[in-house]
Amino acid sequence: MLQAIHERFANASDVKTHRMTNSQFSAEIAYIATLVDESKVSELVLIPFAKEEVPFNDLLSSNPNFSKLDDSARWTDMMLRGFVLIKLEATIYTMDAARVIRNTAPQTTVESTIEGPQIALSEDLMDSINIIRSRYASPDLESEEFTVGSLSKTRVVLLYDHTRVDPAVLDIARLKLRSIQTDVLSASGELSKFMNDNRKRLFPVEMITERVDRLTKGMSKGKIIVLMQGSMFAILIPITFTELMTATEDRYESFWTSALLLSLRFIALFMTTTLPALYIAVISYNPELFRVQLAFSIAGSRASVPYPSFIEVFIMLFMIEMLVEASVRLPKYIGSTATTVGGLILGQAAQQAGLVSSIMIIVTSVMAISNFVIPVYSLSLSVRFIKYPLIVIAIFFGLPGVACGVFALLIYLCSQRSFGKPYFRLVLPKDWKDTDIGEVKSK
Amino acid sequence: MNRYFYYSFVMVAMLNLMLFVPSVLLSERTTGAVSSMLVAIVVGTLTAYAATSALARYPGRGVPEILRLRLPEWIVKMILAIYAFMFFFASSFALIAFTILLNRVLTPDLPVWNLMLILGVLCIYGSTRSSMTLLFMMEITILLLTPLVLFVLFKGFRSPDVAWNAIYAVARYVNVPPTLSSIAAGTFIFTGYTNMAIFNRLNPPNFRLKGRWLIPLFGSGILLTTFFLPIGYHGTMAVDRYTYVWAQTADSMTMSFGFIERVLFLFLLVYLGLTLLYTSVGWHQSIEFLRSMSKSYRFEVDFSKTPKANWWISCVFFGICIASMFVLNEQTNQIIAERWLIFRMFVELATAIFLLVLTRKRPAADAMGDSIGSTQGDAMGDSKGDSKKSAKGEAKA
Repeated sequence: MLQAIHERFANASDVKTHRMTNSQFSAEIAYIATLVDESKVSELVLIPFAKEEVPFNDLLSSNPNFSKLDDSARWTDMMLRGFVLIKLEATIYTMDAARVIRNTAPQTTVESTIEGPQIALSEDLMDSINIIRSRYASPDLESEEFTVGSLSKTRVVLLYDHTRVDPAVLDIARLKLRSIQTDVLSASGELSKFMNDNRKRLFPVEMITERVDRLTKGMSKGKIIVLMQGSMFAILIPITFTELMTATEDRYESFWTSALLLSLRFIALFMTTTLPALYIAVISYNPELFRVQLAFSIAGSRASVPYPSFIEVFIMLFMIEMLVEASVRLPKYIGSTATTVGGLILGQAAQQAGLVSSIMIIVTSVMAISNFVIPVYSLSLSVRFIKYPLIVIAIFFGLPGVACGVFALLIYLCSQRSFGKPYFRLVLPKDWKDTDIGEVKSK
Repeated sequence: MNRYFYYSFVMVAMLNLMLFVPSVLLSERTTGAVSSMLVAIVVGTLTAYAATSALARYPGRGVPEILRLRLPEWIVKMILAIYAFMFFFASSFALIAFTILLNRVLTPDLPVWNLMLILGVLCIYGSTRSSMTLLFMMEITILLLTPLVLFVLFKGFRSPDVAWNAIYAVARYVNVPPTLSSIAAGTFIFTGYTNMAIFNRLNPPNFRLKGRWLIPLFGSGILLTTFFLPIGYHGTMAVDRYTYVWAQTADSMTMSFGFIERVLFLFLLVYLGLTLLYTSVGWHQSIEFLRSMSKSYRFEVDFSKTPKANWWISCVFFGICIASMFVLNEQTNQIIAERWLIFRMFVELATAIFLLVLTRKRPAADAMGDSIGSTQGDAMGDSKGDSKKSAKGEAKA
C-alpha cells in the first residue's frame, strides 16, 4: 500500500507513512499530516497498537471509528479528505481524523436581526450540519454528499426533508451538482452559479443565506439546502422573489408590523430602480407631470446646472456607486472616513458648485438608502444594476419608456423559474402536491 | 385556478376604452345605447357562460385540440386561421390606438413611430414568453393596476363636477329600441373568456370555474361606468365631441393634494400597462393558434428556451403594426373599430354556440375518463389527489 501511495503523491512532503510492528502484527499507516489531527491518530491508532491491550485486529473491527475500504481507487480521495489509511493483513481500514481550522462561535453578520437567532452557519461542513440538525430534529432529514471541483475536491451536501421535498426539484439539483465541471470551488455564490442553467441571469433564483432559521423553515416547506465545505453560506432552493424580499424577522413580529415592513421594502425596491430614470423622464420630457409649484421648484434648483438631466444623473450615480463600492472594500477603520468625506462632497459641495441640482441629491440619497433596505445581498446587487437600463430607456423614450422598462422587468421576472418552479408569483399553492396551473403537459 | 380566468376577464373589460367602445355607445346615447347595454349584459353573460362551460369540459386542452377531436383537418385549419387573425387584429388595434393617444397627450414632440418602437418591441418580448409566464404577468399587472383604476373611479364618482342630472337624462332614453352596433360594443366588455382558448391548456384536470356570477356583476358595473361617467362630466351633448372621451374625462379630475395634479397621467399609466398586457396576451394567443395549425405541433405550456417560430411570428406582427401606423388615424380607427366590434360579436357568438354543441356530444364516459370533476362538482373534493396522480402519469407518458 505504501508503495502505491508514494507513487500517487510523488511530491507531497506532508504525506506521512509508517510501517509498524508489534509482537503479533505488522501494520502500515498513511495520512496527510496537514489535514489530519495527529494527536487523534496517535491516540486511536499508534498507542493502542504499541500497548497491545486488546489484539489490534479486534480493535479495528469492533471500533466504529474504523471502517473497511475495499476499493483501492479511493485511497487518495479518502486521504485528501483527512482520513487515515491503515493496512492490517491485506485489509485496508479508514479512520476519519480530519482537522479543520475554523472560526469559533460564528455570529450572523450579513443578515443581522435584532431578536432572531444570532448563530450563523460555520465554515466547517460538519459543524453546519450539526447546527441545522439540532434545530430540525426530524428523522426525515436526509443528506446526500457530492464532491465538486477536480482540484479542490470540495464536499457539497444536499439536505432535505424527504417527506416534504418536491422530487422534481431534487432531481434537478442532483443532476446539476453531478454535472459541475470546475477546478476549484471556493464559495457558495460560485456553486449557485454553476447550479444554474442561465449563467447570465439578472436576478438570483436561489437564496444564499447564513441564517439557520431561514434554512430550517425553508426545509420544513420542502426546500433543499445545499451546504459546502469552506463556506459559511448555504444555498436554499427553490425560492420565490417575495422570499428574497422578506427578512427572517418578519415572521417573529406581529402581523401588521411585518406587513408594513414588507410593503415598505417593496416601495423601496420600486424607488431605487425607477427614481433616477423618472427624474430624467420628468425633467427632460414631461415637466408638466408634476403640479406646477413642484415643477417650478425643481426647475429653480436646476437653474445653475448647465447640462441636460441625464449627465447630472450619471455624475451623481457614478459618485454614489464609488462611495458604496469603496465602503465595502475598505477596511472598517478607513471606511467610515471615506463615507464621511464622500457624503460631504455629495451633499454640499457638488450642489453649491452647480454641478448637480439639490433635487438630484435627494433623488440619489433616497435611491441609495432604498437599496440598502433589501434584505438579501445578492438581490440588492441585482437591483443596483437594473436601474441603468431604465436610465438609458428614459433618455431616449421619456416617461412611456420608463413605464415600458418596468413592464419589461416584470415580464423578465415572471419568465424566470427557480429550479423548475415559478419564481415571481404572488400566491403559491401551499404545498407542491396541490394542483396548480400548467400541470397537464402535451403528450 | 379560477383567479386567472378573472384576471383575463378584468383585463379585457377595462381595456374596452382602447377599442372605442365608449365612442360607439356615446354616439348613440339618445338612439338606443341604453337599452342596447341592457341587451349586451344579457347576451354577453350568456356567451361567456356558454363558452366557459364548454371549455371546462376539456381542462388541459386549448381550442385547437378540442376542435381536432371532432372536425376534419381542413376545417380546423381554417377556423384556427380566423381565430389567429381575430386575436392579432384586436390586440394590434388596441396597441395602435393607444400609441396614437399616448403620443397625442403625453409626448407630442416625439414622432409616433418612436413610441410604437418601444411599445412594439416590448410586446414582442412579452408575447414570445410561455403561456404560464403570461398568466403570472397578467396576475401581477392586474393586481398592481386595479387599485389605481379603483382610485380613478373613486375620484370620478366623488367629484362635485359630475352632473347626475345629465346621467339621469340620458338614462331615460332606455325605451328606445336597441341597435346592433351598440350591442356589439357592449358585449365586448364580457369577452375576457376568449383568452381561455389557449390558456385552458394550463387548467389542471380537476378545474372547475367558480363564481361565474361575478361576470354579469362586474361586467355591467364597468359597462355602465364607461358609458355614464363621461356624460356626467361633459354633459349630454358635449360628450360626443371628444375623440378620446375617457382621456378627457380623466383629465377633468384633479388630485388637489398630490405630487401629480392631473389624473390623466395616472390614467395613461394604467392604460399603458393594460394595453401592453392585452397586446402581449393577444399576440401570444395568435402565435399559438398559428403554430397549432400544423398538426404535428405539440404545445408546451412552459419552456425555458423560446422557440424560434414565436420570435418570427411576433416580429411579423410588429412589422404589420408599424406599417399600419402610417395608414391609420383616429377617424379611420373609429370606423374600423365599429365594424370590427360587430364582426367580432358574431364570430364569438358562433364560436360559443359551436363549442357548446361540440362538447355536448361528448359521451359521458369519455368525459369521466380524462377530466375528473370538471362537470361533476360533488366528486371533486376527494378525487383531487387521484386526478393529480393521473395528471403526472399523463405528463410522463
